[in-house]
Amino acid sequence: MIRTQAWVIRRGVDASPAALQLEELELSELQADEVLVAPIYGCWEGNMSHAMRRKPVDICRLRLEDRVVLGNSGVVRVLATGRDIGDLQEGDACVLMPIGATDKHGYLTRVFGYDTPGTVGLLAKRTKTKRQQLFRIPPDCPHDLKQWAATSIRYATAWDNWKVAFGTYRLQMSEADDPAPWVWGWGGGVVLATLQLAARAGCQVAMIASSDARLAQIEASGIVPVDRRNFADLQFDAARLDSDQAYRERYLRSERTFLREVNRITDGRKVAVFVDNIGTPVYRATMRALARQGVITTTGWDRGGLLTTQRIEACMNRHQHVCTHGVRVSEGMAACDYMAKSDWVPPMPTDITTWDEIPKLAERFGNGEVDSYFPLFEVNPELA
Amino acid sequence: MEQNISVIKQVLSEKLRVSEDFLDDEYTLDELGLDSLTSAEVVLGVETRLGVRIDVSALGESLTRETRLGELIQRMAGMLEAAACPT
Repeated sequence: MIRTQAWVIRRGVDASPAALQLEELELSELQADEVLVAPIYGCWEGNMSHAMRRKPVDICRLRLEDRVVLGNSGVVRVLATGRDIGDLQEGDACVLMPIGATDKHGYLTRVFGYDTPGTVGLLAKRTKTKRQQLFRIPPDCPHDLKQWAATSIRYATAWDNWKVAFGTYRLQMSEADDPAPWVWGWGGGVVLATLQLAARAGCQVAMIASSDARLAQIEASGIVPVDRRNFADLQFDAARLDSDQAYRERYLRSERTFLREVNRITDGRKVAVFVDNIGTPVYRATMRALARQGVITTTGWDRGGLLTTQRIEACMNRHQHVCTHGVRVSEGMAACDYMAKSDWVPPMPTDITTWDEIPKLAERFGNGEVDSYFPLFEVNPELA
Repeated sequence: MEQNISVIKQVLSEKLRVSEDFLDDEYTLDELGLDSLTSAEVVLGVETRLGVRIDVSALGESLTRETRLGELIQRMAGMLEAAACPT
């Protein structure tokens, strides 16, 4: 048995949110195909807050377990390898690829440290992984481990989604048709990573955010910042739009401001690829901002996943809808390989929470009080 | 003319479910969600109120999604004026 310490959440007895509790944990002996690792830095992910809220599901109940250790983005140090593993050794630094289970083609169906039963996430001082869940960071790679820690989910997800979305756009609109398409996005770190990739593909990029700190991060990443506070009432609610005249007027004013901003920045071309990880409140406006042959692409549904599509408009405008989630194993590795060889990495994270303060980070993130797109937490920082 | 404009604004306000004060001339038809179906409903509403027929196809030909609301109102008012005073 391997003893360790971890922040756990326990199965809920009612609908109240979960709380992180520091507990002792025992890991089973290392198997031939397993790697024992010490997490160094983790990155707080949206799915961790979903688990804390027990919405849409109590993750402990889903896994049929009494307690769960979350955490699926970060960097780890290899401590020991099972006897079947020949290409990793003690001391290697690796990025966690949190692929818990896949379909027969290698596409992710369950996430390590989230909904995969039996997995212990990065909110533990020690954990075990399979070989395919680790990308070995080349020792001569110039990127800081803190930058790598933010990439596991956000960058791999962005890589995979962008490949499908931009491929879809180019099926209808060649480089000759539109050499520098406008790509816009709203959401979090995945969107920022996607827009960084889009810029590398020759696109013009803009991102919407509603705090000075986030707008500064966007601008520092070479992306046109768009201040959402100028159209703060863009919160679509179909029922209220029908029944509440004051709301309807506020909404339409905000939507007009938003669409005029799109037209101003794109010089009337509108948006070729719109990355929308928000969902319901902005979906209508997103669709109206799309150019003909435009692509709306998503990996998430942060503020609602129930959408109404006007099929006549979608068909007439040849709008394409791309939905992906997680990443194929091979694409995750390709994404990491590209990161190691390029400068496609997050800006150096500055919002770093110590091990003891992790519950406060969980609370801040859940309350929408975290400005950083890449909020890190320390687990074993002395191993960096 | 003024009375016609007033009626057009009343009907637009009802069909779009917004106050008349909200109806800024600078809105485009697209921004107001004034699609072809809603436009037809507005025309019908105005015709019913004033007892005058509007040449819908002539009106439709002159409109795009980017047409400003003020221009739509002026065109409709002009058509109503012409229909009421045949030469």
